[in-house]
Amino acid sequence: MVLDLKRTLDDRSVLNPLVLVALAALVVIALWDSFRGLAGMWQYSSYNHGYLVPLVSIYLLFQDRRQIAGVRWNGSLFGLVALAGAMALWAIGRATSIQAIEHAALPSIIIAFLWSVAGDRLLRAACFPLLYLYLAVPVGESLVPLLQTVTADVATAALNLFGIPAYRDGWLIELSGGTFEVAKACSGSRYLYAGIAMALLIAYQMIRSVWMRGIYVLLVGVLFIVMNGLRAFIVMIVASASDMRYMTGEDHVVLGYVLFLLTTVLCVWLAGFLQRARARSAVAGTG
Amino acid sequence: MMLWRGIIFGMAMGLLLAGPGCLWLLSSEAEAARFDWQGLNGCVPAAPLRSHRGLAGADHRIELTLSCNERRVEVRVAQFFSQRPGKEAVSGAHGVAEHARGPRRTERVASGLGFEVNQYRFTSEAGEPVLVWQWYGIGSAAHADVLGAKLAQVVQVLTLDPTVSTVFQVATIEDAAGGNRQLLQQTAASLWLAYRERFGA
Repeated sequence: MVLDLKRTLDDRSVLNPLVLVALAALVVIALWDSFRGLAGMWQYSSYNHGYLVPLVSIYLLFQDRRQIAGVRWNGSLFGLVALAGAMALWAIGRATSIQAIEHAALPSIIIAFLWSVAGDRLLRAACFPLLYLYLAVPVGESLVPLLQTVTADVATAALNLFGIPAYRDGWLIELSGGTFEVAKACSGSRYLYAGIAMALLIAYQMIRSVWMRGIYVLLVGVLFIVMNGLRAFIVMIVASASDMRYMTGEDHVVLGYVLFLLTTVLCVWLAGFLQRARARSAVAGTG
Repeated sequence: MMLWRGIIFGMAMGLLLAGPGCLWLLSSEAEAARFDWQGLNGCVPAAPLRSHRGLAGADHRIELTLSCNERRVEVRVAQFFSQRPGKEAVSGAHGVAEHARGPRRTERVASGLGFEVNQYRFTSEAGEPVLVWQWYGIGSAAHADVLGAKLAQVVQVLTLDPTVSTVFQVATIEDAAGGNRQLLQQTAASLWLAYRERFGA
């Protein structure tokens, strides 16, 4: 570990990502109030993953440091124009108190600032780590009702598959042991948003083809939605069968974490499987 | 090349600082658009029609309840010279009927002043039938709907106008003969005329 640290510090390619992070920090300081407001949104469970996004982005910059070090910085007038546009968007959001606009502008400002100072080539070299910052913006609240419906659909389908009698009315599902509601907190939005953020990172690390990355992220999204529906199904049948003794308190939250972990392991396996399948088909194609 | 990079860096930093700078300038100039209303001739101060916490975060307020020939009318105006979360002029809730008893009805009606207002009907804590007109003043224009008011705010920012946003509420006790409603309309007209004169429109 000590040897690796020494080697890292001796490695001059570390300088470029350090400078990029320092420049991004300038943006954060200049718009501190806005960034603090954005960070305040991460305390809500659907957006908890926001705390990790900047750290992942910095890690990716350091991981790609050799690629970034090989690029000459030349500045960009187009970057300045983009920065002016992003600042205008931020000002509109801030002055009219429309948080969605204000927060969405923040990663745009960081990217446009780095683009203007460092140039096009640097932007291309650090594209993914910088675009990853958009995952810190809290969006998707309007999807919650749809996710509640889909969760209820999956849970009902599972109940029907196992021949368990159930009556459904919107988000309410009535079993013999009780009536259950797929509430907002059960919509699976926190799993989906965190899952997508994780999927993008895994895809970037493990899958080469851009198309395959897109398919993978889509599959992971579907996987987390289905997982949440199955979670609701398990909670309902256990609670119903135990006369509401189990799965009505903290235990159903723990179940959620366990299923999230299992789905994460499945996602990592899936990425490896897709990459191996693609490599095999590439070899077969040349062979 | 170093000079070019330095120039670009300087311009980028300038743009970065221009945003908050512009907003600060707009907000400090907006204070000059403070609006005051002296009331109606022949009316005297009276007890409030409804209890109210006040519009949160307002930079300047007018809160008057007047008795005019035994009819009461209540005026609440809140001005916002700048905005941020928790200090928003345009939003769905303005404490119009915070302590209302029972259901409240809301509809969009013509004010007779050339614009529409949001009209609320509910029963107050004292058991009286209250009628409230509410609208937004963004610059010198009136808006009843939230979207229209937000768009007007966006235009203000883009044209670098001082971003003053004002919320108007005029309330009275609803009576069958409609006399109180006439007083409410007269009060709204007086208020809006004074506001438009202040903005030079």
